[in-house]
Amino acid sequence: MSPLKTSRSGTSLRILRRILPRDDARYLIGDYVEIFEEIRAERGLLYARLWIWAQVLIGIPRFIQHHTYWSVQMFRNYLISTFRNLRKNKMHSFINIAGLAIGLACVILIFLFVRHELSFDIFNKKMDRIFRVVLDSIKDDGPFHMAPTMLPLAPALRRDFPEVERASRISERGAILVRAGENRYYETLYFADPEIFSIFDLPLKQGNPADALSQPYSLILTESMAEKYFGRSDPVGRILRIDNVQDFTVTGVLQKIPETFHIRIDMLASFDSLKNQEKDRWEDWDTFSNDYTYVLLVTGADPEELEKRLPSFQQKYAGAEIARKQILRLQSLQDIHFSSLNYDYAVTYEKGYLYAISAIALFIMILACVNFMNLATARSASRAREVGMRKVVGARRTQLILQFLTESFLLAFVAVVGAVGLVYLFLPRFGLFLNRQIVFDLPHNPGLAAMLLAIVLFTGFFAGSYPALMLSGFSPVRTLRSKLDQGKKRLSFRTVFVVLQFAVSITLIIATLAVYQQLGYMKSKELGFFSDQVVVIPLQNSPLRQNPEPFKNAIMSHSDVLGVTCASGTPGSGSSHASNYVFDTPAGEKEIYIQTIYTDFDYVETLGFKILDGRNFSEEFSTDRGKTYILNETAARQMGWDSPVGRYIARGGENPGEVIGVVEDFHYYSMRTKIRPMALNIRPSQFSYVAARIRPFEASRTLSFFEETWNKFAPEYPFERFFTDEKFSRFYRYEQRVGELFGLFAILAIVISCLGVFGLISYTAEQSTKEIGVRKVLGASAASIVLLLSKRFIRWVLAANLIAWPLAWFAMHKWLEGFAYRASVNPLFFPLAGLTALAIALATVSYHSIKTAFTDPADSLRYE
Amino acid sequence: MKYLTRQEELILLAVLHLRDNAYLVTVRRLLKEQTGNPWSVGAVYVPLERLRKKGYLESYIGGPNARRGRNEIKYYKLSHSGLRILAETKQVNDVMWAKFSEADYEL
Repeated sequence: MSPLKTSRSGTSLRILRRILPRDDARYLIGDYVEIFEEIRAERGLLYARLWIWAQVLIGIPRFIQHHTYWSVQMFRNYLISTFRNLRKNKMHSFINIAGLAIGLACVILIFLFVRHELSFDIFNKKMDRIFRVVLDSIKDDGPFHMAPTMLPLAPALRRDFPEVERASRISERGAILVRAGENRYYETLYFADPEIFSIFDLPLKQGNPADALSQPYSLILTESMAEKYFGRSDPVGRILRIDNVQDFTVTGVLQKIPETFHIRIDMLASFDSLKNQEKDRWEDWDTFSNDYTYVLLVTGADPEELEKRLPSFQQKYAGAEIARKQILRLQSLQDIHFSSLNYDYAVTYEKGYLYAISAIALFIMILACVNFMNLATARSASRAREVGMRKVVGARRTQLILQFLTESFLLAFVAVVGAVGLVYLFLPRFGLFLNRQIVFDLPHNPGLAAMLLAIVLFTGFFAGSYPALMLSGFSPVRTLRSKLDQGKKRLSFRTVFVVLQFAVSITLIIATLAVYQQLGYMKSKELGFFSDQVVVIPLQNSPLRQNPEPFKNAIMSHSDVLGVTCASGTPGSGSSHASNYVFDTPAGEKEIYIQTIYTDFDYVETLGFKILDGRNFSEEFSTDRGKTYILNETAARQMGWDSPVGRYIARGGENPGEVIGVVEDFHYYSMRTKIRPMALNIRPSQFSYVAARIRPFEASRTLSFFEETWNKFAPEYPFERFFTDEKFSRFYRYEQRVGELFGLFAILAIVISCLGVFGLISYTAEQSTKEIGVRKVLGASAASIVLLLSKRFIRWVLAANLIAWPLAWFAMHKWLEGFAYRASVNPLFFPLAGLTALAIALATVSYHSIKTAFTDPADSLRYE
Repeated sequence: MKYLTRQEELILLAVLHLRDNAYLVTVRRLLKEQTGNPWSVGAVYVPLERLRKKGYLESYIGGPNARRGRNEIKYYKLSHSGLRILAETKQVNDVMWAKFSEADYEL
């Protein structure tokens, strides 16, 4: 044994063995040992050891260079063979890459959307400590969850609770006329306490957050609003006239508020500006409008503990009666975006949809990957010979696996690049579609780039591993000797996926049909009144609000106007005045919420409500001026009498009024909500709309007549109007979008499934070329061969139906439960969707099957 | 004719000298002794392999000796073309060197 072996320097030899030229390593090691011994004899052990380690150090750079060089060479070779393969099967490669790119683009879009939705309000640094105070109103039929709270709440919270660091009210007031010189528009105004700046991260571009909202009648704008009213000149210090009566001074400009803030604020005025207008509500603990309360708790405060102390706090201010009926709760900031409270002004989204859309994204991703895998495997027959050749010239299995993975990484990369292009192309439309400004900030967001890279790796690995393992496992002798025959087992693995793909497609087709059916149902269902040709003119805050009668008479004079009425609300206007009514029922006194519409004498006639019982309002009865009510069926039913006519109801328990009639139920809100109990009552002071029924002919002339008349009466206020039926169809924009989205996904899923089928049929057709040749020689007709090839696809699509039908039925049933008025899913949709899928599958298959069927048997038998 | 570098020429001559015992270690030792300079392993191995690939040398594997453990030895010997190029080189060298004598220039 030489000292080199026994000493620690054995390590150096081991390293040398790794880095020396592979072919000669075992001789060279011996040479090194000899030289080592020589040096040791001459200069001693230490020197010899230093020498051998020096040899290692000298050798490493060379080794690395050498190794890299050959890796690059091999990689180049992989790339070349990849490109050659792509070129050779142009159609195939295109389908493969395009399919993956479309699928990935879809996944990226959905990911961006989901990320956008999940990032709501997180830009607020104090997010964990911010809460909104919301209210549960306890009713006979359970709690009614509301977002708005009473005005005196915020100051009282700040006073009474040391753990409330800041508290602010934010109020929304819609359709307010804002004017600067000639620029006048209706805007939604927000009013807030100065504390809003210490709660939320809303930096000011100009102005001082400490005092921008401290004075009454001061106002801050977003930049786009400032430009809208003042152009490019400096807005600070300028005057905006609000509602034509009050001048507000601009005290600041807001920096762009992130899209992910739950309130879309454009104009923010100081809260004290409301004090005059809302004097009677300022200290009222029992009325609600669009006023919302936010608190910032001190660090470490326990919100649950605070919530427990709220009832006694409320009792102190509002009295025991109200405290019992109105339960205050704290809603954390991150919950707001996904909540569904009544009368909420926040931008919200249903979390269920988010889950559904993520699930669809995942599905599409899997489908696209499976396809990619399917198509790659389908080509394995033609690649088998290459694999055999590589093996013969000495490729190891790991190298082959590496080669195929390289290939699929490369394709995945190309597909991701394509997908990114598609995303850029479609993002604006997608954002419009979902009513969100979604950003694809790839260059500024390394996280997103990392995600894309992860997608490349995942897809490349997932999609490439199966062909890589399968192809590299071929025995070279078999692949070179004859064409490849594979067991049925491998085919069935991919069959499962094709069935799955079709199941998803069919489910989505059924879902799309059902969504559109529900849409059609809602749009065509009788609303219970003349919905078309009713023009509604909002009175805004114009002087006409106090006295609309002259205007009403003026437009009444037009010959194409069939009737005009003034009211506090019209169907579709969204305006609501809900009050508590006390009335006698056969079972004793009862209390319910009733929506009251304050009208004039012409309301029932103009809008065409059907009177079922009793009579209409009439000027002949003096009591009809405010003291009588007409109920809708739902309200009448709740009273419980055979006929409620002649009974009395009392709003807020006071001043009982007689019920004089019952009208047929009509839709005041969208079909999503059940028809609520409603009452009509005459009270001119509450009018905010004028509704006119007009002849359908030359409606535009009638409309311009209305506008001219309006401008005579209220020149300061821009004229606005809407048709009731248009307004109702706009209620269903959301469902419309859901329908379009599902339709889009359905098409996508079908395209992807077709790609899968295409890959499989090309594989099957190639596999059975010889069999078909023999059949043809024996006299089989082209038709019978087409049938032979298509038969199994028909079977798969039928199997897919078995999975899809119950799934679709269950999902759509759940979705429809969200509508008070719904069409049941048409059973015909199921076979229809199945047949569509089948037809598309057969059409895809037909190209290959017909081609194969008409091939000259001589060619196919010579195939080898 | 083809040229050899000085290094290649020396290595071929060393292999010639060592006859049956020409391998990396012995070639290196001989060159070191004759030139008086240290030769690194690489400076010997790389030209040896290059000459082998050019066809001037042939290699054969021999059994290990006691000094190097179980590691086999890669021996080199001159091929026919190796011998020929040495002959050509010598011929040219002789002619070219003929005019040179140390005495003439009093070195």
